[in-house]
Amino acid sequence: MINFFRKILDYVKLGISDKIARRYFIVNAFDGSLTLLGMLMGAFIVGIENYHVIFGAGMGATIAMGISGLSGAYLSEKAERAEGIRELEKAMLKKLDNTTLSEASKVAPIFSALAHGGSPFLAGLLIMAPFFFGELFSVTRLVYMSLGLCFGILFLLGLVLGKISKENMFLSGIRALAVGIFTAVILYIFKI
Amino acid sequence: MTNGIKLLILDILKPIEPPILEYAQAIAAIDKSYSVSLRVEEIDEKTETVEVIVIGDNINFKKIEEKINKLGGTVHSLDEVSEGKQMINSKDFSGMRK
Repeated sequence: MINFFRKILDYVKLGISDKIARRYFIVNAFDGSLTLLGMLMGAFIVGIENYHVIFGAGMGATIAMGISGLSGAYLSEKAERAEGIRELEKAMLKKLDNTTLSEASKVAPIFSALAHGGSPFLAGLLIMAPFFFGELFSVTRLVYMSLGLCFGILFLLGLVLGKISKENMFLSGIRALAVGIFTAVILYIFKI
Repeated sequence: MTNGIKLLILDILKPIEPPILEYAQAIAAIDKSYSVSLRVEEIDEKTETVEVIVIGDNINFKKIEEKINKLGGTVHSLDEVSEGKQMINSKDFSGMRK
């Protein structure tokens, strides 16, 4: 079992796909958070009183984003990898079937898909978490809590980006948070 | 008792990834007696030419070739072999050759 994981890790290293996966993990988590931010703001402005409506819409969006990320990333990454192997075969003047490289090109898309689909799904699930206890609070309070979580996730993503780029983490977090607040303000102004 | 191949020098072409480290580990793992050295001789956009030197007891060329193929490389030429009781380093005799 340990060998199996080590093998997978080797494959990931081989494809240098961990950096790409990390990038898309963050991009898609950002995407998912802002999507739900839009939905929450919409519900908040219109003044929906039944929390089930927001919960249903939010979970629907979360699951759909997850599946979209999984399938889209898997298919496109698989195609890209296959193309990469073909290019390499041309340079090597031989087939690369049954080599570590072709095996890696099969495993890497799965990782990519998990990063693409998993990140908006997790972000969405976290943001919608208060609605799991919908009966305990008023709808307005639930929306506030979810918005708070959403801004928190955006800030956290900013922190991670700051850590990666070795810049000022706090500033990077604030920048990401600002994007969220900007979105919320725009939605509020236009009363969407 | 046969002493087998003691020294093997190969010229291989391999994709840039995986790096020669992986090749060295894979070849050295075939037998405990193996000592392996790889040196990049030429780098192209996607491939590199590497000189592989293996020293050990009863070196199994087939197994080494298999490992290289598995990692995506290909053996271009077998440049030097030393077999028998004593290992011969061709450099010691290079004066005689030229």
